[in-house]
Amino acid sequence: MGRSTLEGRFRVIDVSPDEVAEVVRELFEDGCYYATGMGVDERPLNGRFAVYHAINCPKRGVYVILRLTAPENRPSVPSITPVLRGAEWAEREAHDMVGVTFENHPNLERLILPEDWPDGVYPLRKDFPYNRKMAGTEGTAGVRGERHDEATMSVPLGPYHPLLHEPEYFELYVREDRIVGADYRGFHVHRGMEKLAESRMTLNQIPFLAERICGICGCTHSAAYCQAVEEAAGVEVPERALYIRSLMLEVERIHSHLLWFGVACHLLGFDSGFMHFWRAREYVMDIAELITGNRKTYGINLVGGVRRDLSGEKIQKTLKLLELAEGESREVIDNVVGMKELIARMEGVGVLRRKDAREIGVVGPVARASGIDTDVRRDHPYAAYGDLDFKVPVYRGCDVLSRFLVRVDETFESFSLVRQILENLPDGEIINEEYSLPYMEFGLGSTEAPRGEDVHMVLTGGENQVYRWHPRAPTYNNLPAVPLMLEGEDVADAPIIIASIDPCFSCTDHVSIVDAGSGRVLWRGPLLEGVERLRR
Amino acid sequence: MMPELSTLVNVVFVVLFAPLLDGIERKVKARLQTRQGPPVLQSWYDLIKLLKRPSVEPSGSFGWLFRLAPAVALSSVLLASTFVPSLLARSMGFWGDLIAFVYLLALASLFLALGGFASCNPYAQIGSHREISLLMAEEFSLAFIVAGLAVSAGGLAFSAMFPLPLKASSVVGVLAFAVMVYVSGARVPFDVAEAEPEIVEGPLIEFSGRSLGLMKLTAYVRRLLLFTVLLNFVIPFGGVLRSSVYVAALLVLSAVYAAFEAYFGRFRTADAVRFLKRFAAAGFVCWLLAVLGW
Amino acid sequence: MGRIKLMGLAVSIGKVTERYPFAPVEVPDDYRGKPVIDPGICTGCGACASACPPQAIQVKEEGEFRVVHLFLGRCIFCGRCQDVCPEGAIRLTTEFELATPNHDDLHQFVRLRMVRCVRCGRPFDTYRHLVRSLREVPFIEGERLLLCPECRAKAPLDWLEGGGDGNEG
Repeated sequence: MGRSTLEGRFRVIDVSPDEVAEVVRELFEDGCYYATGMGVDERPLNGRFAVYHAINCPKRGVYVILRLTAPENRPSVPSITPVLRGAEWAEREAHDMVGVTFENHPNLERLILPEDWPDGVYPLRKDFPYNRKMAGTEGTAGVRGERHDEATMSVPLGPYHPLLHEPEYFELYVREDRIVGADYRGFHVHRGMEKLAESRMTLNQIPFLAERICGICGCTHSAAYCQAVEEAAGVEVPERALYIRSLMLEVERIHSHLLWFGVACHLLGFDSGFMHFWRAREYVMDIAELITGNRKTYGINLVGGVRRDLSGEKIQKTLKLLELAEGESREVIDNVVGMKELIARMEGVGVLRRKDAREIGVVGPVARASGIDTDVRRDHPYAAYGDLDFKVPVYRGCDVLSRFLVRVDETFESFSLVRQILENLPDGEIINEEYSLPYMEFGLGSTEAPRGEDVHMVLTGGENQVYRWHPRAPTYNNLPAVPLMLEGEDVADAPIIIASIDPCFSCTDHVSIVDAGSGRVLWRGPLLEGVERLRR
Repeated sequence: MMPELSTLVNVVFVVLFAPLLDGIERKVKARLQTRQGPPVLQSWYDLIKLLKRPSVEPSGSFGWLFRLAPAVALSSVLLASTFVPSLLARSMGFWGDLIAFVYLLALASLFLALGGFASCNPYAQIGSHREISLLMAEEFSLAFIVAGLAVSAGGLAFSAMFPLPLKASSVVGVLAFAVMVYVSGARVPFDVAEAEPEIVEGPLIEFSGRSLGLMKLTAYVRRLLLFTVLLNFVIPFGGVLRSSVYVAALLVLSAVYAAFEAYFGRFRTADAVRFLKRFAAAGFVCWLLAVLGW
Repeated sequence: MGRIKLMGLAVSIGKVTERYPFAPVEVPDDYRGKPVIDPGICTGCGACASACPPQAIQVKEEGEFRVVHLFLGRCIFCGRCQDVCPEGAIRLTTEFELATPNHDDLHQFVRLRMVRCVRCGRPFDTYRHLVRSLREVPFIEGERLLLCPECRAKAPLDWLEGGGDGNEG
């Protein structure tokens, strides 16, 4: 192994191409999983392309960042997907966006760019202007998968479907009422956020962009971004700010889980449950509005701290609302759990075995429902979580019911966390604006979003800018597991299974630029094989 | 009043009142879900809007069947409404009323499913499959119930069955029929054929405008007729009193059914079918009691 | 049992959905709603424009005037403008019903007359901002502020006795 820099939360290691597979295998066997990876165009700096693989080692409380570089004239590094299949999407993404080739990758097809995007144009390279418009070429796709026989019907789920509140595409292969196979095609909603942030936004504007990655758990993204920059620049964040961050993150988790319970009820045909959960959730929305001035986009995080302080009066009001929200949620949950037909539809459905879950690297409640004991808040304490007391619920049922129960337990842990934070809020400043931004310093910020681990990697650019920003939403890691969960299930269960990862498609898709004109060719062709291989 | 005229009054009442009843159910459900809910006339507003709009035919569909299905479905329920005494007690009548009624309603379901198949949409196919499986399972229970009631009443004509004699078999039969009314009304948890989050209204997915309006009206009328037959089994008298008791009972029944609907989750198709097959036992008990003369 | 309790709960609670838009909704006092610039205070310094993440505020120069243009169609209501405004001229109000059939309702323009450079005659700063700056720098350097940035750079440092270069301001 080569040079290594030691930081508290992460360790960047330059690995040589010959060693990387071995290192990854050892890390995986040690209990680590693939968190995310990014390609970086470092040519202006050293004439090379780089790939950063972030591997989360929860047991050791550290992220191991494996950095591989390749010269400009031969941008090629060995793939680690054969050793760890969780890396498949990240490598394909780096291939699409930066043009790094991964040797021995089982399936280096396009993942993000549309099929009619011209070959050899890589939007995240630094010589690609952010405002350049591309004319589409002839699409190469259009061939239909042939593995299914006459008796199998293919049922499209999406891109527009009442189950999916965002445009994504699942193709279910159905025989009678049973799913015999499923394919996934996503990345229809690319917003080119990375490019935008790197090209025309300043350091403290990006938190607001990051917050808009997700409409439900945005605060967690802005927090992760700010943490990444703070790590890179060594910014000391005042303690009161850390507590306020944790407060908003937990408020967000409560509202997100209550929202999910409601949606789950709706998908199971129980609309009254939806209304009851959302009624309880409304108190949480009021808390957010009271503290941050808005129900959802809190806009509270900046590099170095938070923007709004909490007065004593607000704390009192919050505690009152919290009591109402907790009481109502408890009452509704307890009664819903008593409804047998709902529980029967979740039990034993959508099974994701622990082994698959580990290899794919699923995160958050999906992992915890498959018996994997992981939680960023505990394993890599950030914000105020080091001082707080909470349990991490783990279930071993591997099914939708387990995912439901993990979220139930988490919701009530979060109520307790909010109360702890409000009772122990330290005095002092809420923001530190005295820092200087170094040039090309790496930083990693991670948070436990309601949907799982959320990782942001940053390379600072000096002069109030970032050189490279790579956010990775939890759904990115959880989605590849969905086709596995769907196989062999009843069509009627497809909605609740897909919903059981609490998917957030646009968050997953944020990463790239796509010409929306080519919607029709997006989902057929070689990708079919891609997802299939993933399943094997 | 002449039978023809009262038949006409009944049909007009059924058509006008069925969407209103749905509006009332929506309001009841809204109250049970802590919502404001739409105005009582909302279902009528929706229908009027739909009937004003042209329908779109999906490319690749069996056009004639797709166009025909809503009309046949609505005609069959309307035909049924001509001989079911609803607002007025007197109506057309003939031997075998109940069998005709059951089959006209099944015909409407069948054409809903056929219309779905004809649209060639995969969701509609799944929905139609489900509709047919459910229909089969329903028929199984219904056969026993109808037979039991017929034996108990001593005939299949409505004139013999309305009201039913007070016997153990007719009490069991009416209760079992009440459950079947719930099931045939495509209410949660038995709305598997039209499950919105799963298969997007199933057979109805490709219907639009006027033809969707007709399909919806069919569904409303169907529910009203099922209620009507159930009530006729028990309302013992005629005249003005009958009409007002009938309407009041209709409202109560519909509120009760809506309340049930609001507080159940949806079955899987297999579970629904299994439930109905087991339920056939109740029909069998009814028939057995009737045969034994109880 | 669960379902009956829930049903009872619903009946005892009544309606929780609101009659909005037929009845108003309340928001807290420090709600982040529509931003409004007070044209009587704004100096056109442009701090808001450079902080604004979606570039909803832009500062342009049109002849004798500097124009601060706020376009609500781009605004994300983050309130960064309010944070950075040195004059307190831009504030977020509690108003949030911004839908309108008239596109003009989404724009606010603040036009501020500019000062000409005493040497080259080019308009370079707003009167109001200049007055404000004059109040904050030592009188002796005040005259230098009447030059546009280019002329100021060109002007010999000994133009003024003591040769202050403004850094201590």
